[in-house]
Amino acid sequence: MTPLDRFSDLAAHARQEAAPAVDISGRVFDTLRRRQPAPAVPWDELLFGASSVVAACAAAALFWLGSGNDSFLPLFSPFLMVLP
Amino acid sequence: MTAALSAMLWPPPPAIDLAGGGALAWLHHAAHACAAAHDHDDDAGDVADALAGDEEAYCRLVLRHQRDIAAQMRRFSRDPAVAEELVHEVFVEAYLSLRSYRATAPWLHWLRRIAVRLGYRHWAKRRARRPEVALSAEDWARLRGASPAPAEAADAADLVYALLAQLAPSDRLVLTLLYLDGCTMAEAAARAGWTVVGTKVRAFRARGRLKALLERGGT
Repeated sequence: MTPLDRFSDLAAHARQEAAPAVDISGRVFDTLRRRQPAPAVPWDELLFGASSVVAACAAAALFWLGSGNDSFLPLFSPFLMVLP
Repeated sequence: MTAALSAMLWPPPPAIDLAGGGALAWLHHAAHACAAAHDHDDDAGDVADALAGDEEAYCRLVLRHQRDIAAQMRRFSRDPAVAEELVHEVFVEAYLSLRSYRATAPWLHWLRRIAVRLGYRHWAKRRARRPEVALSAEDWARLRGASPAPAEAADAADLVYALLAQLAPSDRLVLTLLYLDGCTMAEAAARAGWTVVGTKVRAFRARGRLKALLERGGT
């Protein structure tokens, strides 16, 4: 009998081994919930919101500087004009 | 020469003896095939329900197949705790990639491919750390046939596992699939994600390395 034949016989005998009893059905979803990734940060929306605020502030500052007036009235004058 | 090489690469399929015990084995095989077809129908429904978010459906799939996967993962680790952890990991991984299941083959076949991938990764990780199992002089004598083979199947499995642990993971995988899981070349190729020709070449080389190991081992 060659070594490979001997190995083949041993493997065939090993194949008869009974399958071990396991029950992991209760653990699968616990693990899945634990591994669930944190909600993604909406970077696009945050960037859009922040850039809108910055742009509005910049526009207001430019308007104020351009008016050549030291009071804050020109800053609000567009709103005052639109309100009526 | 060509015929000898061909016989080595493509061994003939085992003949089925329908007389006596053969007929009983054939009936058992037919009953198993019927049960498998029934499971396949159940699996398709449960996979669809699981994809729709039904956790109970996935639990049914786990309960139906965990024993088969446990038997398979026992080939990748003889430590019951590690084998159980691998089974658990297979079902977690399967759930996470459930959308990639195309239902062209039974769900169990798809699951076995994931099991083989995870088992192989486990071997590769362990081998990077340290050799897994050592064989005693008595074990080598048993492997060469100088001592009687173990009577218990579990002892024979331990011995075969320890021998295969001496090989590289890819050799170990192809020999495990062919000799321990009893796969055909096509089945082994499908489970490991190789081509059939590639599997034949790997098997040929792995057998050569195993033969060399058996001849020089323990000396």
